[in-house]
Amino acid sequence: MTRQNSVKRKLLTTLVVSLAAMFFLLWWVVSGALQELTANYLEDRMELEIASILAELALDSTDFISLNDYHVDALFRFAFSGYYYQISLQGAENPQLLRSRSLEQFTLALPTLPMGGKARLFIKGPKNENLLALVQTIPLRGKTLTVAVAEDLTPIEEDLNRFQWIYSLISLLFLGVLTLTHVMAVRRAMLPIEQIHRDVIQLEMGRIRKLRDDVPEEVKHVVNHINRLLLRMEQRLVRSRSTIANLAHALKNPLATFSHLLHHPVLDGEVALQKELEERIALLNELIERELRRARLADHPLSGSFFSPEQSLGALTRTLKNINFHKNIEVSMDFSPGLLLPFDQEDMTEMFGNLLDNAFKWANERISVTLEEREMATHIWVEDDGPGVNPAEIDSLSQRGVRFDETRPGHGLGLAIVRETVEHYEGTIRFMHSPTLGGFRVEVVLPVPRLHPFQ
Amino acid sequence: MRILIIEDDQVLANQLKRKLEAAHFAVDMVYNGTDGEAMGNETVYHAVVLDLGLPGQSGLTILKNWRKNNNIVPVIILTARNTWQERVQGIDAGADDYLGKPFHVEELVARLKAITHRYSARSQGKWRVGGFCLDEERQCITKEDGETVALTAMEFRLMRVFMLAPTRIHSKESLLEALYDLDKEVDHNIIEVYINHLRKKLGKESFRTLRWQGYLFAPGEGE
Repeated sequence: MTRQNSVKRKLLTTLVVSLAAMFFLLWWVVSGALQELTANYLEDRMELEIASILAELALDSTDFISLNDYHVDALFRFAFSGYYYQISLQGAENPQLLRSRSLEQFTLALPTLPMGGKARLFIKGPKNENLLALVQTIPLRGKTLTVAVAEDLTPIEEDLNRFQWIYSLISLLFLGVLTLTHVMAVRRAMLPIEQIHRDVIQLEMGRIRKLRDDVPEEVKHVVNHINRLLLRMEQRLVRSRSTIANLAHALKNPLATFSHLLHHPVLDGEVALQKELEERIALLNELIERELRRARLADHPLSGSFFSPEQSLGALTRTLKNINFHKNIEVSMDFSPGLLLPFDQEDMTEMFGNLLDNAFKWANERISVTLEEREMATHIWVEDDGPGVNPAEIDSLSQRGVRFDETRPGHGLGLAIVRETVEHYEGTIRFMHSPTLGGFRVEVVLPVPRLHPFQ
Repeated sequence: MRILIIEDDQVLANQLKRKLEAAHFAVDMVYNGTDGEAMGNETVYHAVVLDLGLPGQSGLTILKNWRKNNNIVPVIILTARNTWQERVQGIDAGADDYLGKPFHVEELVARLKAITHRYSARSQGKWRVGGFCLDEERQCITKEDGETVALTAMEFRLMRVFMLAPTRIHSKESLLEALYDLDKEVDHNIIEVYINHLRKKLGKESFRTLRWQGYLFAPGEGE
């Protein structure tokens, strides 16, 4: 899985980005709304204050304004209390300015509003604090009365800030929890794919025959399809094998007849002809054998059954002991019980059959078979306590393409089959002296088939 | 020695007959499975040469039927399908040897001579192996010291299989086939139970368990 093309990554990115955007929007809207609500609430209160100030405002005949400030809120009287008012009258001969005592000598910077106007604005207070001010202009005897009430926003801002902090923290927490939940959900959703991946590896190694189909609907059809393909491959393998076996049967019977016909009395005395024909027939037989074996081996190793040494070696040993009942040979087998190897059962049975057959021919009393699974390769030793072979023979046996001489019937061909099988599985075969039993030892190393490195 | 050849290729069969007769065998011949099975049951042969791919009845089926009916005639399988998988099947079905086509008649003769010595002789419905004597009439076994042990029906059937072919390793599957019909679903472990019963009656060392291979009746040999 590459970085660019990961479904998991894409899903998570989309989810996390959209979640973050949603939380930010929510945070922005809620904060704005709260500020607006607070300002509206303050404005309503200040409107009432303006009304109460206007009620106490007196204007005498000389257009002089005065305010009985004992009837307005006491907060307006304490210096820098945060509650201020400022009243001015323009248009008269002497412009007048009336300020709350809390303002001391400070004058609020107010804009000029059109007659009858009303405005809410943010201005700076005497201590450079933020004030929310409500300004209202009222026509009065042809003159303009401007009344402004202002309130320090600092405590409210502090409250708002604290609220925003808490709100942001909670939002972030939720964002984190939701992201985590999504990561887990996506990971869970991806589990079947990982299971399929593991199954495919197992399949490749021959440990299972088909993919498990207890997967979600979305991938089930893929799994079913692969399983159908596997089944078809297996069927094809079985069919091609039985076709080959039939062909072998069909070809070999007439050949056997030919070779026996050579000794018909009619041909008595024709020694040279008999010998010539016999050689040709033997060659033909060998060719058929080899090509059939090759065709059989060329099948895909993946689609076959896996190899169970217990079953196969047990049956082979039983068979060989029953055939060689006149010999008393002890066969010791060393491999972990329940071992399954990713090689075709029939190929391996054929290989071990020939190795063991060879060992049975030469052994005196003991044969040992050892299978060991090492780093991605299976090591196999088949050895006997027979006469063994001398170093020169070992060399010639080990050379590629050297034909095995038939010192005893069946000997050479058997090892040739083994070599072909080993080469088909890209393994190595070596012949040597057996250090434990003293006779002949064949060492076969078969790498575990891995078609593509997955990770 | 009288032998039976069951082979559908008539030319090959006739050649074989001629050559085996030259090697002083008395040879009967049959070209199909159905007649072959019947002939093997009617006449006592010293050995049978059996082709696997036969018209009528397959060689493997004939062999299994014979063994099921206690026909212990030594059998050499002859086949062109020369794989070990088939060899295992053939030997497990009760064959004594296996020869892939093409073959030399000399080798067949040598093997025929080797296997005819295999089985112990039968005398008045009694079988003797290593001090034990199986009495078919009374379904019991007499030990070397003269003690007679009664056997249950299943134990007797199992014992007969072992006594008929004393040098043979029997797989659990083939023993099961001797006890039950093929279509019956029976647990393999039942064989272990019977073997244990027999071990108690005949002595622990009389049966050898060969790991992954099967059981061998080997009285007197010990572990």
